[in-house]
Amino acid sequence: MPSVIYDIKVKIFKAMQRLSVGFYSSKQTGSLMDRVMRDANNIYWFFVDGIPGIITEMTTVIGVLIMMFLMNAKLSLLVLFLAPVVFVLLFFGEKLFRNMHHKTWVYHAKVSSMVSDNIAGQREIKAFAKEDEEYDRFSKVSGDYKDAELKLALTEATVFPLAEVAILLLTVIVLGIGSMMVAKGESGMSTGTLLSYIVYLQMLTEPFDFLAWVSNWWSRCADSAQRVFEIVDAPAEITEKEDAVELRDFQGNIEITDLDFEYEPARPIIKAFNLKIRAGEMLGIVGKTGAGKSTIANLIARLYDPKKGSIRLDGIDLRDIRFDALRRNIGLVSQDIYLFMGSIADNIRYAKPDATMDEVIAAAKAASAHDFIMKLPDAYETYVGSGGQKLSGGEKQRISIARTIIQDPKILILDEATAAMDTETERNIQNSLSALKTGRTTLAIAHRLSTLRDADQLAVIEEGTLIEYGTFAELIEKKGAFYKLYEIQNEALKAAGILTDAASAADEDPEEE
Amino acid sequence: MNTNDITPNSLKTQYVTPSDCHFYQEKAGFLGAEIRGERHDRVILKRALPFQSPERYICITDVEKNELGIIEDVAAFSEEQQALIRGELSLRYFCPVITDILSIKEKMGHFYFDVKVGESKKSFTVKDISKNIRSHGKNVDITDIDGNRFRITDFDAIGAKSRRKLEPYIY
Ligand SMILES: Nc1ncnc2c1ncn2[C@@H]1O[C@H](COP(=O)(O)OP(=O)(O)O)[C@@H](O)[C@H]1O
Ligand SMILES: [Mg+2]
Repeated sequence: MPSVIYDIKVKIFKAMQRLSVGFYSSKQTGSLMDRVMRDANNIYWFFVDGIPGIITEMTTVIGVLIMMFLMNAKLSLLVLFLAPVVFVLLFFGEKLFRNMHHKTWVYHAKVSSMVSDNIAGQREIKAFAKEDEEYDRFSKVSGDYKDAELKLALTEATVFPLAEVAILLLTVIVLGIGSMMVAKGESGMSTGTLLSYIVYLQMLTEPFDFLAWVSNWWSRCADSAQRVFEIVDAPAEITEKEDAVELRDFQGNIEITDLDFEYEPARPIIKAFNLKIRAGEMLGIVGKTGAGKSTIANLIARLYDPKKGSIRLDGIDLRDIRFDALRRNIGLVSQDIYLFMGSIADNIRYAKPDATMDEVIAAAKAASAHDFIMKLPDAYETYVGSGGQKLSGGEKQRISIARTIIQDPKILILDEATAAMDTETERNIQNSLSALKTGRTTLAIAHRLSTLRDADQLAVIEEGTLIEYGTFAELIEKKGAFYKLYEIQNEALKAAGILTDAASAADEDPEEE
Repeated sequence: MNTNDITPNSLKTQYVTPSDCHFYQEKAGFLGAEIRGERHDRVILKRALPFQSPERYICITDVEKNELGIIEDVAAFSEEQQALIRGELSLRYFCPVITDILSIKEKMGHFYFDVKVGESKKSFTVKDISKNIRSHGKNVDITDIDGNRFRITDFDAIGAKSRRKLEPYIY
């Protein structure tokens, strides 16, 4: 139905496809897509709901103010004068008031009951000439009321509706002054007038609530619009050449030649890097955190372009290959998984939207994801991504592995693909991963070096350069950098008591988005 | 697809067919099933695609949530078996059917629904409508903030007034 929103989204998605990951990561978001969806919705609903709402609520406010002036101009002037003061006070004292919210309510109840007692018993008060006494009583209670406001001790943090409390304060003031006016018998002020005056005042709560909320909404909306324009207008960094080619009869050879890369100018991350991975082989990449392992993985997936040098697939430069060919042939299971806003099933068949449900379930099973998916109330139709069901890092990784199984790419990049899983799940999934690796060129980055035993070759990286290369056995024999890393890890594992895994706790707590 | 033979059974999909799976009503009223010669006196049925395909891909588990098999299509079973399966599913997926929408009011991101379920009136609140109001074919499924489900079985069949009220919230 909402074609506007559809247009906005299509525009954004088109624009997003032109952009590199560099853009996304510089906007520090793994969930840009989610936000875009929300931004587009935000803008749309603001126009559909917000604008008409503002008009009706403003009309209410004006109408009510007119009524109030007609009833009692003096009191209304006071309200008009006090309203901004109260709002400003509340705005700056929000925290304070939030804490006081509960106590103020209690005192408010007391004050109003006293005032209404007073109004109801007005004849008696007058008859017994007790005005001054009542006046004192009221001052006392409203004094307590003020104390309640100022006392910071109360920690109850309820949601603080600014407008409601503002109106509440105004009501108390009006009740106080109004009842005194009534008690003193001022002209044009009767019990009935005061009561209906209060009713009108209360009628302002909703519009003010709405307006306060809408102004907040508007600022979010302006933000959204800005982000949307940023994306639509951003120049593409990674572009597809006009004459880009298909990958025909693709084998899966990767060749990296004299590669230099930097995220920011003058801070080289990868330096003069050379590496060859033959089709069908598995290469393990090893190195300390920050060595540049993920960067190399991302470069091979052409999430970034090299600064110098080249990466070739079967002899063809990445920059000469069509985007859809890359997307089909390179599968990346990365450290930080990003799920799209949509159902789990959609996420799994993302690379192949026409995959059957049989395939989706089979892939989820192979990735050890099926069981946890079936425990969710909506199973495969559970919404994930921002605003959706929260999943733990390990669960996201399993969905991502299922996604890659369906994608069936020639080149598989596993960047610490099981890092967020508990040991048991990891063990279960190893079989699927081994199955996944056969017949593909695999690039595996793993923290636990023992998991790289079956790699055909290992590359050790330090500060963006290749420092060692060879088979597991060769590198152990060599007693170089790899041997040292291996020793350190074994020691640590022994110290922690046979192969316990620091990651085992990681699977349980859902990540905050 | 690459699910080679080294994949253990627990990671494979096991579909059940009328020939290797028979449902029966257990004395206590639970649904039992004999699957590949093994009797399970209490099984639980769960839909893999509750909205899109409520009659396909039904996972059968025991009470410990261990999967015993998956029904690919309920229609493959005999009438009598289908009735047992549907009976169990309707217990698990209890869902009042909305026949009329009286009003939808929006305040602070919450949507307050007043609807009619048959002859009785019902009110509930929905948040995040883009996620909690879903349409599949003629069905519209609504999940309220407490996780309760409501369904409109035929969006075209409810009155034009009702339709107009809900239309803006369906994508
Ligand atoms: N998007 C980015 N922008 C700027 N610097 C980055 C970015 N991503 C990674 N880096 C830097 O590049 C270096 C290598 O990072 P990375 O390839 O993630 O290492 P590894 O995967 O080996 O731990 C680190 O110093 C890191 O801080
Ligand atoms: Mg990394």
